Amino acid sequence: MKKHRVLFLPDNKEIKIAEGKTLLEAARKLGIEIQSICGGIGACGKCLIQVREGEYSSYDLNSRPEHLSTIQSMEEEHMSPKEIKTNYRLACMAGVYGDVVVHIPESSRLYKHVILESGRERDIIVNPSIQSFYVELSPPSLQDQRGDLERLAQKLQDIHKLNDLEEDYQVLPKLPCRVRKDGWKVSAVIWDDKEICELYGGKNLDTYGIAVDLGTTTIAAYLCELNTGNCLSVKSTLNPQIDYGEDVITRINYCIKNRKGTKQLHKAAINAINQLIEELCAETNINNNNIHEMVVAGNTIMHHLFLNISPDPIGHSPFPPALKKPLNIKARELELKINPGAYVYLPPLLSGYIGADNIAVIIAEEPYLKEEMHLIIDLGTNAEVVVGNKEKLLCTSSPTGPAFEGANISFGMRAAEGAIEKIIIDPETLEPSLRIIGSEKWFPESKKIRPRGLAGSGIIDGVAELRKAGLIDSSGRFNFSRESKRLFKDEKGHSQYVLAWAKDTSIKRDIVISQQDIRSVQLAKAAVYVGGRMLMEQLGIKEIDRIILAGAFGNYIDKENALVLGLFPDCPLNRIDSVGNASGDGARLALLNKDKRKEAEEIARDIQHIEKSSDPYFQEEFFQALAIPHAEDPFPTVEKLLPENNRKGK
Amino acid sequence: MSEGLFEKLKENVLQGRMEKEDEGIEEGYEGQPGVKELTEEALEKGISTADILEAINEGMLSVGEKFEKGEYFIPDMLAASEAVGAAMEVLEPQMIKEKEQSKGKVIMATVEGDIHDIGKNLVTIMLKGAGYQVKDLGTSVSSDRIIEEVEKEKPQVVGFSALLDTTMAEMGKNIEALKEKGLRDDVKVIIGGAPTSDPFAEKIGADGYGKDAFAAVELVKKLLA
Repeated sequence: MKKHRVLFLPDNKEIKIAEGKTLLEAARKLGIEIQSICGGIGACGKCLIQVREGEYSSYDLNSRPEHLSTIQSMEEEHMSPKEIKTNYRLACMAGVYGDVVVHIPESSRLYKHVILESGRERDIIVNPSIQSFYVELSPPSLQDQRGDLERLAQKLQDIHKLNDLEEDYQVLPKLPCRVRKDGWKVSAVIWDDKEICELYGGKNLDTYGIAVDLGTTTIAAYLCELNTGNCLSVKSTLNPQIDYGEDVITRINYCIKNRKGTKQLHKAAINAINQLIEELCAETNINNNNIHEMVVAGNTIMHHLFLNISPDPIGHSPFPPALKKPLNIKARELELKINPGAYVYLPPLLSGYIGADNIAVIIAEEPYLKEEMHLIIDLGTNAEVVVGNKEKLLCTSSPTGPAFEGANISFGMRAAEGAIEKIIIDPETLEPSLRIIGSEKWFPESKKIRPRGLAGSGIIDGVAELRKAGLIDSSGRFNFSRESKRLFKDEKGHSQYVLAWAKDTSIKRDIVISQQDIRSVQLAKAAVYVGGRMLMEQLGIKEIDRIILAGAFGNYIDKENALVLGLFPDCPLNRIDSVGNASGDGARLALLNKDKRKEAEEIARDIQHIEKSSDPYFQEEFFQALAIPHAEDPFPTVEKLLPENNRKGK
Repeated sequence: MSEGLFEKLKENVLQGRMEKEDEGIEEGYEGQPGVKELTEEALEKGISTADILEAINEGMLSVGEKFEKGEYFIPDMLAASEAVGAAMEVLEPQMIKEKEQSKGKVIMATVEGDIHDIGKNLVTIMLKGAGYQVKDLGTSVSSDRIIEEVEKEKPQVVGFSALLDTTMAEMGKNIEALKEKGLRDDVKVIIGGAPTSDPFAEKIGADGYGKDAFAAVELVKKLLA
């Protein structure tokens, strides 16, 4: 097969790759991380790169744009005329048919980004399913010829009331040696009062466990001491499955299209978790064999891929998961590098799009124990919405699309250094101030870190601030009667508001919020809003007592601006809580307290899942929710911030 | 028709105003005659339905341009198409008298395995507004059902919609099914939905791709011209 050379700059990394492979594939092979939200189908336009033209004699390389497959019209849609002229391409669409030198702009790179590891402080009741029991056995004699195992089992029954214990096979080969090692004094690690998972000679009561929040974008792992409930260390990483698609649908599609797709994604997740285990153990000086249990909470697709179960059927209506029940699986079966006899607990699933991660959020927030009517929103590419209290819980899932994660937004990006995370627009001067990740101060007062794009929280702020400043009206349209040099139409006649001028940005282009960006945000926010509203209607309630925003994203959102935008129904600001990574908290609770697993299983049985699209009013509700904040529903909490109610803003 | 009336009709379609008491998309229109009154006035003046439809069509083209740039959004587009609907109601008896025929019949469906239908519904509304007869088969429609309806309704165009990467492949299957039954040459196939594109339409052998409801209407016009 013919091979060609690809040199990436400024990384200065080179690879020989088979003819016809894409630049994105070449970059991946070299470990160069390029953004690819759509999974490499030319739809998101995030993998923009520039092909250099000319002779690179020091590399003996003649780079020509025509060495790549011809540019497609869908690529051009993501580019300015200038970019097309200067040989920009989408890395995922450009096939290699000759030697090329490729420049990767900073804006197309995937940076190490901010991951929220800890949720809110919570009281944790420690009642783990793993316990280590120390017993002293009487040695065998001619009068007492019981086997070692029976001897141990009898003692555990006599002293600790543990009846009918079973044992993991790994205990048997080491049994004779371990019981004799320290003069018939042993510590047995027992799982759920049912099974001897491990046996140590002498006294060893330390047991550890790991809770894993297996997210579509990030994986967080918490190492906990099971006796005390103390969390000793937290590590997190990007989910390496991102290389195969940014969201769950593109990953399912990858599995459908590639025969070994499920296995590849499974391996990627397991390897990443093993890497985190190694880091946790290294930091705490704990032997990975002393980790005796693991809890893994993820959405339904992550759950299936973790178990190497094909997610294909979840890609089609009615989106059935392969199974929903809670599972206990031996670590060795999944090749996880903890004690091989340890169990991995996976909480139950609710549906194809409401997974164990949501159950984890619910057991962390416990709306089922409270009088207050709760609205819980876990915001990502899908928004999972729960409404209810101790009487009843309803849930639904809204496809918000990836707008809040930066896709479909001209300058959207992940929450990484250089991303604008907060915006204030002065209603008098119409000038913006920006908070940029990596800097403590506001831009432009401080220009230490130059902006590179817009993070999700920045996108919400941006649209809400434009609304408050009267730069857009309630329909979301730019209002040109507000005069600002930042508000204008580009050469194609598209309206935009400039947040940062090219000279001040690290990407040398104006960073703007375009009219289309505002439309994308409206579509996404309406989906979330309607999710909550429909469940409220189903329960026959008009008001919510408490709103809980779960997920890393919720922590960075400005609540007031989220209300101005109409992301969720009105609620006093002091009753809106951002609880951070509640899913990770729930996983930890399930690790440390086995009663929480029972709660999870009860919720999975009792919660009522509402399918929105079957509601005849859904479409009408959706259209009304497109307005900012809403076409009909009142928003008393933020009413006075809107220019039509505020003379000063006019 | 008089230039003034033509422009007013066009403008009020653009403002999405059905009747006199309606607000426009921009301010200051309340109380002025809407699309319904203007159409009645035009008919009274003896203007032909073809000329009236031309004015309405030009209005919708401007709406489409604004939608394309994001200046107009879904509610604006719906308001405009409702205004057009009001005009059609006024025009219908006259059209029957003049024996104007429907411009053509279109069948719309969200493909099997997909339940997302807002995009498809918008296309349906817009096509109706543009004077086409549309039968909407709903969501998760099997290829058997599509074949059955094509045989029964004999439409000129079939439109397939999908929102998921995982369901868009159904479109190709539907086209294959049409071929198998020897129906493919009788209908034009158009597709749309977030994961689809021009190259994809080409790949599966569809006759065209519309990136939004306006593009879909233009596509149908082009295919049936």
